[in-house]
This record gives sequence, structure tokens and C-alpha cells, in this order.
Amino acid sequence: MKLAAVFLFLGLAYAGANELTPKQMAAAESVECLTVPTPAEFFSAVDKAGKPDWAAFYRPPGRTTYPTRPQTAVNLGALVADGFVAVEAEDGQQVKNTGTDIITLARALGVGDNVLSRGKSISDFADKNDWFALREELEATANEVRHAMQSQRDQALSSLITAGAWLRALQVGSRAAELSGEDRTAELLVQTELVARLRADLEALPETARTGPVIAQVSTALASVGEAMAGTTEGKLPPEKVAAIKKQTEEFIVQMGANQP
Amino acid sequence: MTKYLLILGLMLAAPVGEARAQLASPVKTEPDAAAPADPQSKAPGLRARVLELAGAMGNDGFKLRDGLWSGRLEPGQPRRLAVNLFAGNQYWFCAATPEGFRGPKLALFDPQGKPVTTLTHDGPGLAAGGVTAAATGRYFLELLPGSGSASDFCLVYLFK
Repeated sequence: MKLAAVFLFLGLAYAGANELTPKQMAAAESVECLTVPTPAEFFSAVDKAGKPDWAAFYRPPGRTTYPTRPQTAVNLGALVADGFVAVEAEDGQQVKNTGTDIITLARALGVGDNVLSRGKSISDFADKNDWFALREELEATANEVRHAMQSQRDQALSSLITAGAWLRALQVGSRAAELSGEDRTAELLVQTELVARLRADLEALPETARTGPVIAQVSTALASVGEAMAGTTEGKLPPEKVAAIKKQTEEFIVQMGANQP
Repeated sequence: MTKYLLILGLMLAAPVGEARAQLASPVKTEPDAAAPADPQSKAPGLRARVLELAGAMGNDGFKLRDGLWSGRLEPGQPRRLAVNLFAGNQYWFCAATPEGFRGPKLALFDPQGKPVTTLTHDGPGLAAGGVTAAATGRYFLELLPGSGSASDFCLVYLFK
């Protein structure tokens, strides 16, 4: 009953008159699990802006083994974004297939046991068409893999999972913007600070962890995408910049799906 | 009874008026599934209370992010968290301080650092702010103790 009293005090808050200074904004804290949004949030906004045919963004089934752990991590992240696409499409079978692939890649990274029960939950929720729970479950699965990586002191793989998810999400978003021609959808692609954050995460890795072709490819892809987002006026993104983001992310995702040395 | 009053509050206060067909849906905030223990969290009681508040939002179709922000609030020393929001999405930010304290003061600033008007819920040891993001970008959440004393806090956010 006590908690109910909370709702007796409803209102509009006009936040303090003082604006934040650039210094205060720069000093703001950052908590990865909240500061970095999920592709689900992005897709939710894309759906409101243009109601795309989500099934049009499916990819053909990919491989389930990759030559290196970094490449596996990037593809696991991309699969998480695919899972959210399937949830938006409300396609239970596609969600289950994607969930199975996520668990397979998690196993390849040595953390399959940590998310085995998540895989079952994804399957159960998909059978019940519980799209609401599936969004939460997919995010929780990705977080558990990342936490497991971090507990193994493998921050690089954790960062690559996040970057892979976002590069695939931007590929889907840019294609949606291109198909709809809606300015509102295109504007959602302007995520300069997020891309800068993902790049900074990679740059903050120890020198030894930053070697290898995959991290270099991810950094290059993020830099190109960030460049395409830069210089926009009032958040507007012209069609040629949407096309540039789509081309760069598409090439990257194809490259990551290929058999690299 | 409590649950129905919570739902009534949300019906009055959701950022954008929409059909309330989802009110009958079950609460989705299972603490162990939706928000794994944060190793930095020193206040599991706060976490449970803030998730209870967030659970009421879940009944209105808001999805809980899998994570939380917790720590200590000192008088006169605001804590600020950067969050990336998307234009058109609705958000609720829910914070808890220990029972017996006033709820924290919660404010939101847009990517230019300008204060954003939010819908609010205030109560003993609890505060929530709701907004529909007008632009895509990095926003800033600010928390201050609601009373003159230092206190622990725990914050989660939801979107739809």
C-alpha cells in the first residue's frame, strides 16, 4: 500500500533551469549495460517511424564456426541483432533458429554453459509468441556472454560482441531508411556518440589485445560509419549518407561472415 | 489493491496516451532474469524496490533494460549518467533510495545539455521520470539526494 502512495504525486517536472556545461556532459558517467542501448531500442524507434517489413532483413543462415575467437564474437553480436529483427517480425521459428546459433557461437567461445538455460527460455518464449519477454531474454543472453568474457578478462571479445551487434543493427536500419525513404527513419541512424563510444572501447584495450585483423576491421568499419554520420545538420541524414552507412555495414558483415585467416 | 493503484497511476501518467490493452499482461520483471546482479550494487533492497516500481511500468508495455546503475548520492554532488535515446521512443527512468528517505531528485538533459520536461512520480524513497525522446542522441540523467543526507541509490530504465 505504501508504494501506491507514489502514484498520488504525479506531475510534470521542469528540470532545474541550469543547462549542463560541456564539461559536465563530458564528465557524465557511463555504465555499459545502460549507456549503450540495445538494437531492440533502435528497432523499436525504426518501427514507429516507418513500419518496415522486418522479414525483408533476414540473412541466409550463416556459419556456426569461425577461424578465430574475435571473428566468432563479432558474428555472435550480429546474431543478437538478427534475433531482435526476428522478434520485430514476430517470427517464432526464426527467433528459435537465431537463438540456437547464438548458443552455438557462445559454446565456441567457451561460455556456452553460461547461456544454455537462456537458449531454452528463448525457445519457450518463441513457442508462446511472447515477443516482450524475448526482447529481454535476447539482451540478457548477450549480456551474460559479455559478462562471462569479462570475467575471463577478455574485454576485447566483449567489446567485439557489442560492436558486431551495432554494425549489424545499423545495416538493418540503413536498409529500412532506404526502403521507406522516411526522413524520420534516416535520422535515427545519426548515432555519432554511440559509434564514438564503441570506437573508444576498442582503443582502450591493451595493446596486446588490439592486434589482429578483426579488431582492425571493426575499427575501420566504425570509423567509416562515424564519418558518414558526421556533419549532419539538425540530425538530418541525406540519402547519400544513408547509402554510405548501408554499404559500409553491409560490406563489413559479409566480410565477417567469410572465412578469414 | 496496491497493484491496481499502481496501474491506475501509470494509466494517468504514461508519456503518450495509448490503448491500455496491455495492462492485463503479467509483470515481466523477474529480478534474476531481467537484471542480473550487478557486482557494484551494494543495495539489493534498493534493487528489489526499484524493480517493483519498474514492474508496474512493464504492465504498460515498457521493456526493462538488463542492467542497473547504483552507488551513493552525496548532498550537493549530482551524479550524471549518459544514456543514448532514440527519437519517438518512450522512456521511464526509475530510481530508489532507502525507505525513510525522500526519493532522489531526477532530471533529464538533452544532447545539448538543456533540461527536458519529464512526467514524474515521486514517493518515499522512489522517483521516476518519463519522456518521449524528441531527438536521437546522448542524453544525461542527473540524480541528487531528495533530502539533505547522503544515501545509496539504484536506477533502472525502461523503453517502448
